[in-house]
Amino acid sequence: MNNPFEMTAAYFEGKLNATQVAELEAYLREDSERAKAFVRQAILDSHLAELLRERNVQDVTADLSGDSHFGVLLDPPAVSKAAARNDELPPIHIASSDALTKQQYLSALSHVAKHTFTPKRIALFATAAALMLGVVLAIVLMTGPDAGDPIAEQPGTGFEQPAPLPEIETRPTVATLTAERDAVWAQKPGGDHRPGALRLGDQFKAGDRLTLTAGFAEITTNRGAVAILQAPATIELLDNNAIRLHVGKLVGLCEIDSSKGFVVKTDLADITDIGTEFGVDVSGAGLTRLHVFRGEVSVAVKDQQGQVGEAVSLLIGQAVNISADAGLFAVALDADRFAAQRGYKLAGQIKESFEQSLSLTPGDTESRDFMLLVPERKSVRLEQSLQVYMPTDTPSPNHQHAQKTLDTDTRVDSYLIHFDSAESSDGSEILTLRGEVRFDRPILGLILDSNQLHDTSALLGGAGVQYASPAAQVGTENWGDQVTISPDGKTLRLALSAKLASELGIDQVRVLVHAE
Amino acid sequence: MSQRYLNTDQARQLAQHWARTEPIVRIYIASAIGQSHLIDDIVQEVATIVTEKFEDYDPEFEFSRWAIGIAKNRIAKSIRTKMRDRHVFSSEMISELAGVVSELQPESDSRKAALKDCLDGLKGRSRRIIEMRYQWGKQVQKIAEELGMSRVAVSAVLLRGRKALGDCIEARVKREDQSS
Repeated sequence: MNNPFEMTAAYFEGKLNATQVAELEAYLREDSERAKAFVRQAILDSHLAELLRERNVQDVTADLSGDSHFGVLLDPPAVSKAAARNDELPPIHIASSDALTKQQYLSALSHVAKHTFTPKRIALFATAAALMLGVVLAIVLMTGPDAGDPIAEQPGTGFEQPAPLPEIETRPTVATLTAERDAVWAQKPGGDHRPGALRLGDQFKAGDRLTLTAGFAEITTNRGAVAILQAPATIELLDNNAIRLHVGKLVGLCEIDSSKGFVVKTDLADITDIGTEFGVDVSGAGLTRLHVFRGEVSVAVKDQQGQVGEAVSLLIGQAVNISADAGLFAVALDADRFAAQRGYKLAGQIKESFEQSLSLTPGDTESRDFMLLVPERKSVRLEQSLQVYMPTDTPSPNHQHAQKTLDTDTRVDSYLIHFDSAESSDGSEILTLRGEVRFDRPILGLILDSNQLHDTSALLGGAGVQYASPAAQVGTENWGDQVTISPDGKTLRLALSAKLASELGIDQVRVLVHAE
Repeated sequence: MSQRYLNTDQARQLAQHWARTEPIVRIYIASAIGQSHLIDDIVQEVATIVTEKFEDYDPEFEFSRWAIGIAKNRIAKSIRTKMRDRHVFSSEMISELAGVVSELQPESDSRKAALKDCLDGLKGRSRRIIEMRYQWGKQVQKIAEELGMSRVAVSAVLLRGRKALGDCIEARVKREDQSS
C-alpha cells in the first residue's frame, strides 16, 4: 500500500475511497503495533489542537478582566465583549447560580463536550467551557454538607439538595408556552431541561425536551404553528417550526401563513402541515397515528435506517396508521382520539364536521341520526358588545333563557350546532336528537335566534363554510327544542326536534366559549 | 412529580470522570470515523448517556472503558444513519480501535507533555501552517489561499510537520523510558 502515514492522514480527512479504506484496515489489522501507531496519530492531532488553543486562550484571557478567569466567566459583558471579537463565537448567557439538577448538569457537560475541542471553535469559547467545568468541580469539591450549605440533605424529600452550578445557554429560542390547562410537567432522566412548573410565556430553546404528565399545554412556535399536547406526552423542540413527538398526542394547527410547513417528527415519519389542523398520536408500542381534520398534510415514512421516503399527501378526513412493520396504511378517522385536545368532547347523537368546504344550506347535510358540530372561527375579538343567551341549568323552552351581554374586546371561539332533518313520508313524525358537547372552558353564551345567527355568521362563521341564506329559518324553535348548560358552565346539552315533513327550517345553535 | 437530582457525590464523581475521559472518547471517535462534524454530536450523545446512566455505573469498572463502549455504539448508529457518503472502517475494526484507545490512554498525558516541548522546536512555515490548521481550525484550502500556496503543497507541509512532531515525541518518550 501507499505510505501508511499519508493514508492515515487521508483517512482522518475523509479522503479515502472504499478500496483504500479496506486496504488501510487490512494493513492495520495485520499488526497490533500498526493499530497503535494509527491511534497515536489521532492522539497527536487531538493534543495539537488542545495545546495550541490553550495558548490562544492565554492570549485572549490576558486581554480581558485582569487575570480572573472566574471574573470572565461570571461577567457576561466581558464575555460578550470577547465574543464580539470573533463572529464565530456563539452568544454566551451565564445565569446566576441555580440548583443543579441532573439535566442541568447534563446540559453543562454536553456543552463542554460540544465546544471545548471543536476545530472551528475559538479559544475563548473553549476557555469558557473548560472553566465552567472547573467551576463545577471547584464548587462541588469546596462545598461540603455542612449547616447552611446548599448541598445539605433536605429532610423528607428523598433527594439531596443539588450543588450550585452556573448555567450556560447558547441555544436559540424557538417556541413559547401560550396556554395550558391543569398542566403538570415532569423532569426525567431522558433529557428534560426545564425543571418545575412552567408558566405561560415561558420560552423554549432548540433541543429542549418537555414531558407533560397531566393536563394540556399549547406551545406556539416562533413561526406561529400551534401544538396542543395532551398528557402524557414528551416532545422535543427542534427549531422554530419543528417538533419531535416522542410519545403522546399532539394536535397541530397552522392558521397563519408563516406557520405553514410546520413539521412534526416521530420515529416513524416526518409530518408536514401545509396549513391545516391535524392530530398525531405516538404510542409506546411503536405506532404513529395521523388524522387530518382540515386542509392537507404531507407525510413521509422513514425506513428502518431512519431514511425518509417519498412524501404522501393526506386530505381532510383521512387518517393513517404508521408502523415499523407494515408501513403506512389507511384507517378510519377517529375524532374522539383527539377531541379533548381540540377543546371539547362529544356524546350522543352529535358528530363533528371535518369538511373544509361545507354547505349548511337546507338539504345539504340532511340526517336522521346526527346533529353536526361545526368548529368556526377561533380567537375572535368582539368589536362591539353582543347579546347572548345563557340557558338555566334546568330544561326550559327556547327564548326563556336568561340573557347576558358579552363586552367589547371579549375574545371568543365559536362553534355551530347544526341539525337539518331528513324528510320522511310520515308527515306527522317528530324526530328528536339528543347529544351533548363538553367544552374544556366555560361557555360564554349561546346564539339561538335566527336573525342573530345570520347576522353573526360573517364575524364568527367558519372560513369555507357556506351558510343558509338570510331567508332561511335557522335557530331553535319555541315548541320543542331544549338547550341547557350544566352547572359548571362547560357542558351543553341539546334535544333538538324536527317535524320531518315540515318546512320549519334548520335547527342551529351558535356556542361561544372564551378563547384561550 | 418528584424531580431527580445528582447528589453531591455523584456530581463530583461524574465531573471528575468525565473531565478525564472526554478527550479520550473524542480521540476514539476521531480514530474511528476521521475528522467530522459528527464527532461533536457523538461526544454529546455519549455525555448524555453517561449522565443518564450514571446511577447504573459500576465503580468497579473503568469509567473510560464504559464511556468508550457507549461511544462505540453511538458511532455505529451514526455510521448507519448519517455517514452514508463517507467510507469508514468496518464495525470489527472500530471495535478493535476501542481496545487500542483504551490501552493507550495511560500514555496520553506523557505524550502530551512531550508534544509541548516538541512544538517549541517547530519553526518556520511548518509551524505557521500547523497553527493555522490546529489553532484556528482553518481548512487546507483556506490556508493555501491565504499563503498563496497550492493545496497539495500545504498538505505536504502539514504532513511533514506532523511527522516531525511524531518522531520527536517518540524520541522523547523513549528517552524518558530509558531514564526511568
